[in-house]
Amino acid sequence: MELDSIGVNNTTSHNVRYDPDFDPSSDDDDSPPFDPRNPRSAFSLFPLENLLYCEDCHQIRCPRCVLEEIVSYYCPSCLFEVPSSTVKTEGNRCTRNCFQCPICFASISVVSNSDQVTAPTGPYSLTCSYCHWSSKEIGLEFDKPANLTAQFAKQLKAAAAENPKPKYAEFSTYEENFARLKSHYTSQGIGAAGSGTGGLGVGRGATDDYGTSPGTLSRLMGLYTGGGHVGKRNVSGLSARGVGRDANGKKTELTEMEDVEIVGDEKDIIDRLIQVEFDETTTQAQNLCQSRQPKFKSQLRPIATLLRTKRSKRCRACRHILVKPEPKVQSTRFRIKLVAMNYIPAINISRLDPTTSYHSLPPLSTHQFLLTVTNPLFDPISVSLSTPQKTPGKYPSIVTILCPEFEVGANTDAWDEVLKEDSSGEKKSRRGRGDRDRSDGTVWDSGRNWSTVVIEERDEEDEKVVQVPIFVRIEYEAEVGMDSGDVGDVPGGDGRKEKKEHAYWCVLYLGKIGRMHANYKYLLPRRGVIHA
Amino acid sequence: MPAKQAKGEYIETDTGNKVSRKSIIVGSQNIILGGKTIIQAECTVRGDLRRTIPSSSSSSSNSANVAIAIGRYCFLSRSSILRPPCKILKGQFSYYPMKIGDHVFVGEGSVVEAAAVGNRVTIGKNCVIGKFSIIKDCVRIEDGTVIAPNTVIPTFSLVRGRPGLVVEELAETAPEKLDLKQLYRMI
Ligand SMILES: [Zn+2]
Ligand SMILES: [Zn+2]
Ligand SMILES: [Zn+2]
Ligand SMILES: [Zn+2]
Repeated sequence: MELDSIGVNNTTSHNVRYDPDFDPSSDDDDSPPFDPRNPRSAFSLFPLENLLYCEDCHQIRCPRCVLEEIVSYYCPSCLFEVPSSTVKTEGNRCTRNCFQCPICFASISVVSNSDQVTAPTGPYSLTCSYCHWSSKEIGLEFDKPANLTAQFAKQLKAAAAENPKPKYAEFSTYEENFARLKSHYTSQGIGAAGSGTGGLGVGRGATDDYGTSPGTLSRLMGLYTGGGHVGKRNVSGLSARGVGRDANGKKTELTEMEDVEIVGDEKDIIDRLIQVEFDETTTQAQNLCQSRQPKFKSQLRPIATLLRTKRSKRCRACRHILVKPEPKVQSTRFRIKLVAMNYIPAINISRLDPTTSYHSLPPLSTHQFLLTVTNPLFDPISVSLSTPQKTPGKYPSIVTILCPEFEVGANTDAWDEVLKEDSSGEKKSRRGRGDRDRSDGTVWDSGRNWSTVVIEERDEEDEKVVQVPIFVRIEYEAEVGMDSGDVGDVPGGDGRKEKKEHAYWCVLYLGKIGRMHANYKYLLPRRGVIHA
Repeated sequence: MPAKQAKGEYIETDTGNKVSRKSIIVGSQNIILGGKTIIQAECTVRGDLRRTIPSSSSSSSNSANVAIAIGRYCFLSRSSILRPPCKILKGQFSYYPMKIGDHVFVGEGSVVEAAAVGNRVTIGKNCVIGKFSIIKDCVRIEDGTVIAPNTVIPTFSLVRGRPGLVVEELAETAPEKLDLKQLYRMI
């Protein structure tokens, strides 16, 4: 049996996605059903585990409606925390001994190149244990196996001093490049803000973290949109086209280009491209990770590891804090963690007939699935599910939920479940096995805090992924001032109950009709990469 | 869902570990199982690959003999292999101990040679976790990933590819999602 389907890899939870930004107050029966095929949907659907909940707004909050604040910076490789002051001065990369392979991006470690086996000595180099790239290939070796960043910077400086010609400036340091750019912009009258350069920054923006002010920004924008000299571009990535904003014209542009020119002329590159093998040129991914976008593998340098962050999250509407991690790098604990999983029911889909495969449902037939709603709240909820009769799109499926309105029990003390399980040895379900009927309007099965109903899908077309939008409305009565999601919920309030309601769209991915490769889940929309 | 295993397929220990009779456990005197851990058929656990040079830290002779320590609620799927990492240090070849935390899932056919795997780590099918790598808590490694030797994977990471790189940050709910108590109950 494939273990995947037990839920270890969460296949099922990824098959249900929620749209948290739906506003229930604007709901009327005329509004069109949520269309999962709409291009916008890819950005508004999230698996339940990625959603937060604001207790003050009584709303689900998705990654797009929270504000993030950095709690701490750390290196993902040596796991050292980096103070934010250091990040500001030294940049957002590890300054210890952490580097990534410029070829395959695996982390690389320092090895001795000496033949001495028992007591290794220098020289040392950075070597990738995945693809076997070595910094020796680019002539980079170290005397000591520690303090590599400093040794590296020293060597780069030395190389740049030896060959001050711009052609070799690809071996200059970030700081030198920064200084060069800074002087360029200062000469343009866009002085580095924050240092009080005359009259540029107006208001508080002048002293913010990024050294920008509305004044500088608008001048910069003017620079980049002003001219139209798109043709001339140098490899540094700094286009000189904007200089044309000076009414003086071409002459200024040329002199200034010389000032900022970093890598030699393109003819050299073209000549070299003719000579070398294809394999000696860089791929786009390799190229983009380097500060100079080099064309040849021999120009690649080890990549200092990018720092990662721990972040707290606030509700964008009311600014209340929703997530606050423990700042310690290796801790997985949170001081505050208001996740939607503790407030809104989880919906899971499973096959009624376990022999069918989600990846190749027989075409032009009726498929039955079990939809299970699990209640995380300490109060019983009434659930009503509605779905458009036909799924949106050119080739609709006809969808019927056999029992659209039902109750789900409260999430009582976890100890109850343990005791129940001990006595029965099996997850307690209210229905006896074997006497299930599929008649409309009844719950298929239910337990302490979960209920299962049957959902039927009949397709009229071959070869497609079945996505069913479902509008979920839950109602419950909770004690006033108590939010059921709180773990520390203690009885003893004043006993008054108030009616609460949640309503939202979610989308079920039931499977794929017809034959296809088994990795259909990778075709489904995914969330983008988050990185420091 | 997995079919209920035939009776007698697993040997159950006092602490609730279930070890398949068809698994290959070598050097069991050097292996510690924390309890409620499941080892499926055709798994190989190499407790015999013990450290041969004395540890620099003066630990008790008892713990020095441990080649593989596995925590609670771990699940080693069919045909997976746990093998302590080895290297030559100052001219001397030796194996080094491997430590695996609680709630660690190792997928079918995966080979683990890590120095340490934290708590709540799920490793997919057909992965290679390279020698001396360190996987911290709350990490999910996707099917077919190859993690290069000596790699460190920080907490809340989703890892994918060859070589395995952190491609995404896991959500705050990862500790709950990576819990394997339910899985133990199903076997
Ligand atoms: Zn949102
Ligand atoms: Zn580092
Ligand atoms: Zn490499
Ligand atoms: Zn709010």
